Amino acid sequence: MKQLEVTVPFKEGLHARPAVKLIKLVSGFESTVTILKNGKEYNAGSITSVLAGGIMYGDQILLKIVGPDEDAAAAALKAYLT
Amino acid sequence: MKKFKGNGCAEGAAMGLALVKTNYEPVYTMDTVRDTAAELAFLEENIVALGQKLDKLYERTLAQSGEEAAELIESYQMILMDRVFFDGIRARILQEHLNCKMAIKLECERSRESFMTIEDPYLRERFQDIQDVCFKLVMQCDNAVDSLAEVYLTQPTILLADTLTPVDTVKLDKNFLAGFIVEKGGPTSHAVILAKTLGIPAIVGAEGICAQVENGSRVIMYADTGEIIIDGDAEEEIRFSRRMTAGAAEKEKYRREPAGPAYTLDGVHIEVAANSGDADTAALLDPALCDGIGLLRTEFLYMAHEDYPDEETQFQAYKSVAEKMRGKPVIIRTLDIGGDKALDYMGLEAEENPFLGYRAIRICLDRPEMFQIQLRAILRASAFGSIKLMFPMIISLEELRRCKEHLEACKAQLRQEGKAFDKNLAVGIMVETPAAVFLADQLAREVDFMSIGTNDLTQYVTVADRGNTRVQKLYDPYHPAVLRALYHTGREAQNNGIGLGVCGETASMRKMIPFLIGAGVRELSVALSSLDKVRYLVRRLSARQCRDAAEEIIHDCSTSAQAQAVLEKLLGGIE
Repeated sequence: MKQLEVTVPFKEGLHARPAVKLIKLVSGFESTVTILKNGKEYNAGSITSVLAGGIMYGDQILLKIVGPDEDAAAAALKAYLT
Repeated sequence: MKKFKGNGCAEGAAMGLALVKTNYEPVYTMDTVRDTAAELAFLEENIVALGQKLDKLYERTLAQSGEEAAELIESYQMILMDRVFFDGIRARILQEHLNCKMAIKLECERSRESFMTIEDPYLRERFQDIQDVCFKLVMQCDNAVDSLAEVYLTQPTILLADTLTPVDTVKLDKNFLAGFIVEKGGPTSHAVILAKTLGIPAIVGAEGICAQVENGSRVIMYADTGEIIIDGDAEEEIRFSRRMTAGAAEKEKYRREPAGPAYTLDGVHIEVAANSGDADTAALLDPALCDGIGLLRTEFLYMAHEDYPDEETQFQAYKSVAEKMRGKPVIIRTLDIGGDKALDYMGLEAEENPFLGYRAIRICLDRPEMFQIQLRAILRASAFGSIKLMFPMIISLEELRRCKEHLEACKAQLRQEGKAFDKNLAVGIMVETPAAVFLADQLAREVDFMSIGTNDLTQYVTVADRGNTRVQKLYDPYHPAVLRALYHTGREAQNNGIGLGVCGETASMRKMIPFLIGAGVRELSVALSSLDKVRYLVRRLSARQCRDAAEEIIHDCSTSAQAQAVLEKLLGGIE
């Protein structure tokens, strides 16, 4: 398992274009990506789940990446979110 | 055959098939299903069908309204493909034996609960997208259609609706749209403005028509008389084709009028400019066809976004219009929101009297940060063409001076940042309130130009809501008080040697044009489809005769009919 701690860099928060991009990115990998925010978990491969997270600009979130291509997925997520 | 009557707006006549904007209301039941496999298959089938519709809608939106509008559709597509969400629906069908529609509804409600814990109201609102997709899917299960977004027009079509919102009109496929008929809304409502831009007829105030007409009925509409004929007989069709031949001749007459500057017979130059400010018009703008843009509305820029458009977005939009016009003047009006147009993200409360309430410059002066972002964007764009700045809804000198203070503050910032702008940027106001008319002399001394917004001015002078079908008749641009307001403003503009334009509906009205020229108006800003008509008329009028007619009206006419008779007489020689 890989873990990644990031501060959300999108001014408008994690919805619309940034969210769509995130989902597309995650669905390109086999690994499962979970977002942890305030002790709650959200599936980063599901738009409804990501939106329900109400993730705003500047929020501290933790990403858990599990799967055969977790290294590559973590690198891609890091590049996108930092 | 059925006949209806409304108020005709946006000239012309049209024949086409009826498309009635429906307000679909789904019925949900708690019925359970035995054959869960079949119900699951039914769900998948409808997901696929809706997916195909969204794909088409995406392509069309991308082509007609651009990437940004298409993004909303893309997020719909993504929700429809969301495995987590749909697994929840599938589980309800499999385990609880629920019918498909109910399963969708319950899963949507469950999702709503998790959204309700989000603190930020804007992010909480994103639930709307999920709800929209669920609604569309239920609609698909019922085989109902969203008459605006999902119907592909393949032949001339006349749209019938109770009202049309700006959002509705964005969704429309405009290729085969032949006309609009709406039940509510006045001659200056959004539907009519769009109709004028597209050059198609519109009729408003046709109450009760939607309930009595079916999709696919044959509709004939005459915008000049407000007549609507449903499934007309052969005689009606012959009448229509005769009318079209005559109408085509008139259109052709105007169309043949050469472009280029318009001078009256006695050599007075009248600028013929275009109104613009939405994606549809902007795409058609051509500096060869007009003397400039007399009114660039900026509301549409704010409406196309889900949050305030930032300085860069606005700057790019204004700059591209300025460049496109190649040095011809572009009058940009600062945000005129409120009244009949409101935006969710601005957090404005509903008001009992929106047209007498919190709108336009009043909001801008209250929200200096928002106002200055727009002013900075306009100033920066002014380095790339001939831009003029115009403030709407002004009622006092204090307001004008405060606007100019904000402008000076923005100029100082830009100077410090080393950013270019036009140091001599002309500043003007809209004259659209009775207060501005009465203060025209004082206001004229502190601006470079004025432009009369005759839509609002007529409404405020006659105290008649243009959207209220019961008082629409009172909203008369030839009302003697309205004509006096125009004439007075014209005199004060001339006394102070500043330019005066008109950017309301009346600037393209055949009978009104001679009065406006006579009152001293030197710029007429109209919908794209009316440019050739205005040029045609200007070139056949004498400014001197127009002035004599205007003076005769002000001194001798006490009714709208008398005034119109004087103008009709003046126009008599032209045809």
